[in-house]
Amino acid sequence: MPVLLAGALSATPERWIGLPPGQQRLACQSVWLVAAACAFAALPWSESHSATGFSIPGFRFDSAGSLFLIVFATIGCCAERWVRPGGRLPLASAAACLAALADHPASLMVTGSTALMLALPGRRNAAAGCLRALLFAAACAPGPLPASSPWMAVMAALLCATGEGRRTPDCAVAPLLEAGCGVLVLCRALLRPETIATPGMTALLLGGGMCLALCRIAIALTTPRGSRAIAGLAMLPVALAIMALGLLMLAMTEGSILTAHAAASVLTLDLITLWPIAAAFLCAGGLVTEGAGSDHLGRLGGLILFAPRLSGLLAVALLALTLLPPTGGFSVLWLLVETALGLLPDGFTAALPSLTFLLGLGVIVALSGLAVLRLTALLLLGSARSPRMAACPDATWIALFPVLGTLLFACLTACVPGGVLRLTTPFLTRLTGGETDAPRPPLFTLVGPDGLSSWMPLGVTVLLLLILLAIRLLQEQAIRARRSSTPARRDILPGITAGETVPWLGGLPTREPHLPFGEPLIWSGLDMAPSSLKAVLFPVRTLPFWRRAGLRHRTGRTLRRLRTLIALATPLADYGAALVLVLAALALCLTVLPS
Amino acid sequence: MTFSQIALAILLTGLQLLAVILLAPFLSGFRSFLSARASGIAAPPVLRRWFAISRLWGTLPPVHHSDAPPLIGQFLTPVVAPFSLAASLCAALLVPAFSLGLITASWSDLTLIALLLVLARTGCLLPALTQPAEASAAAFGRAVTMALVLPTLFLITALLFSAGATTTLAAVLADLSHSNPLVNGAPFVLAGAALLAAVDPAPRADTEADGQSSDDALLMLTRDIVALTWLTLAGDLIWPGSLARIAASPTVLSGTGAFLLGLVCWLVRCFLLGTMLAAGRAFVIGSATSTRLRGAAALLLALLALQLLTAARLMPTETGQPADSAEADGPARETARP
Repeated sequence: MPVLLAGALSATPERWIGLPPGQQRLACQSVWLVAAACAFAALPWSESHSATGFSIPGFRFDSAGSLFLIVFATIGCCAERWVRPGGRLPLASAAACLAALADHPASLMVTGSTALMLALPGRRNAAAGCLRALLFAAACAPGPLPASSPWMAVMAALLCATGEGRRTPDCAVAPLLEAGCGVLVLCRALLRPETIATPGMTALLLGGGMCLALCRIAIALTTPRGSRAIAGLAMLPVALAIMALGLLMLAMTEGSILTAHAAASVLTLDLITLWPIAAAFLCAGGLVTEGAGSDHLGRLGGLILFAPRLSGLLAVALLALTLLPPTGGFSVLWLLVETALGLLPDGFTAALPSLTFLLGLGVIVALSGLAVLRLTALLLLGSARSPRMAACPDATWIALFPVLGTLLFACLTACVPGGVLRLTTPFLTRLTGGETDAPRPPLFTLVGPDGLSSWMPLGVTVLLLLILLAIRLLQEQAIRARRSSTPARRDILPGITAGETVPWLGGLPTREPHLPFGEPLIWSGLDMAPSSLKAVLFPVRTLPFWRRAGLRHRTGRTLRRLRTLIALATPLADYGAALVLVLAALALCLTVLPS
Repeated sequence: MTFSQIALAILLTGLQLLAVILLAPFLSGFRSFLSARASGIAAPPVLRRWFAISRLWGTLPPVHHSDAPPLIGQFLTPVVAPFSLAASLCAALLVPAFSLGLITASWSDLTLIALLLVLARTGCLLPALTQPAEASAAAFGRAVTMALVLPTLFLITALLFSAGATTTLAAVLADLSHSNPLVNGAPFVLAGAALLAAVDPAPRADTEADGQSSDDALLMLTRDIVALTWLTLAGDLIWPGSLARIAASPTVLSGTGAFLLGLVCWLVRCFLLGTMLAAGRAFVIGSATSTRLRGAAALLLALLALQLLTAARLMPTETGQPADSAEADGPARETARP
């Protein structure tokens, strides 16, 4: 019900309701958050039909549906814009919420395809969006071959996760919505009783997820466009979800129920704690792009100086996406590593694929850390590299409400991973295909499938905060003691106010307390991250043969000539077509005549 | 656990914290001294690092007589420096330095420790990224070095899991304490050597003059603690038998003796490993080559360690039969694995 209410509120013009400007959007965002919280609270009872009382033909409230409802509701919350009413993305989120609850393939196909069509990118990338919608519909269709549907679902999930970042801030969270639809159809396909996991499918999921993560992070490391870099980092949770599903299938194939339970837990934690952070990150990135008036990373910089609130929230989301402790991202990574270790076979040769997977995870963590450092250096630190960036306003707290609410939800759930797993027990049971022997997880602790390894996010966070507090107190005490023992230094330049003319500046007035172009320093360029990596990884600077032979230039020149030739021949094309038609008609007549 | 055991564990943890804070700058100064000697330049005093940190510890941040808003560096360092130091101390508390039975033993997951150290090191690099191009490029170069070594840590986690069916460091080290470093402990010696690649080179003497405030002292201390924790971790894997088991000692006197022995062993192995690393300065290589060498050496050593561990299962036992893999894994793995 809150989803329908949020969708209706979002689509209704403001003058019909008569609320003050912006209040309707705030109401929409609140309703989306309420929907997410309701779905989260209803998770333990999601499998009992009598408790939910939700009965629409083609739709059913089940555990998987409620889990994805949380995801799409948080995406919907971040899709609502404070400054501008309407937009198609909140409607797409509402359609995706309905798709999460769809029980019948036809209803899933209609609602999911509607969501994907509403989140369609601009004209240039519309073909890719249409292909995603088509594959999604094909994956939902029952079809004559039952075995082909899971393959379609795998392909749809992988293709839906390749959505590019949007330049327009209204559609900033669209890539995550598309990826969510893909993971939803994959989960639905896996939950079907007739689905049989094959080794090929498992390998495709694991390899595809790994390649997807590496490609997206490589793009985030090298692209000059802010939206692509932000979307590249935000797709990391999607890749982790796909890898978790691959590990789940592998564990089910090997008959290891405890490891399968751990893999399903990875997926659940990823969806509840990491996806909302990705949505908040995309939303904050959209606000930055809007405020700075440019999508080019070379024109941004120094956001901390101009927008401390926005940059603070962006930094929190960036920290969570580095997968470093004590954030929720580390919980997901830790359990993923433990799951992979639980499936480690004996013997070096047999273990090589698992070791490669672990090494790949390490590469993903390392590269995502570098990408985060690059974005931090180019976006938050340094100085403004364009006048428009220097005039970037800070977002108000009301405009930041979806980011703040979503981050708060993710942080609270990340503190109690065991509690989240307890709430999602029906989903885990359904995904692993029956009751497991796993003991009830502790509230604050994650336990690995081996039963011996554990990780307690809240404990480490509290330890960290206690040490931080002690350091700060000791530091303050030392500074106070030094201050009381040493006399105050004489003020060298007393009372210089802005705009005053001073003799040592040659009669020039002192500057206003704004630094429109930042500090007089030379800031590192865009290519620092990729060039540092390239300098280390590619030591020999020998050009490849195609560069030496100038093949690229020759090919480009030939293509340009061909294009010019085609453009010149365009006016003659109509005559040519008419000639061909006339000749075809003559040929037909000639063939008819003998008969 | 009884009350006395908990009290002993808390006491040991506190002592370890104190020892780490006291030793880290000293070891760093020692490494700087040896590195300077190895590269043939004038060596700074060993205690110089200590004095630099203690001089800056209570220093007031410089007052800027300007109406302009504070620069990003001044804004960022007070936030990042205590956080980095807290992360490094948290990691140092999770690694058993000279004795087993710390209060944090159940949290000492190897992935957690490694990534906490990476977090602390990244925090140290952030203020450098606000500096002009040369300094920020050098800081990013150090981040690239860390990124090249990081994947290897996941392989070492797999090695630890293969040996003890858990990634909890304290539990695995307790099982490994009686292993022979030349036979069944050899993979862990290689893993310890691979971990040495994660240790940053000793700081140059001229960088100590850059500090201006108390936060710079925190950053210097963080770098030293991170390096010491990596060295301690490597030493634990190379020589797990040097860790004292004070809780198992029958009398207070023997417990004190075991504690002192463990402390001495920790100091010896840290200084030995520090000397080995400082000797690397004798090789004149560029920073990019050094980064490449560290990443490649760590990866190869970790892979070799894994291969050795799995090959040990095929080694003939005393009865002449090949050892069963399940037996080689130990009883814990049999019960824990599904």
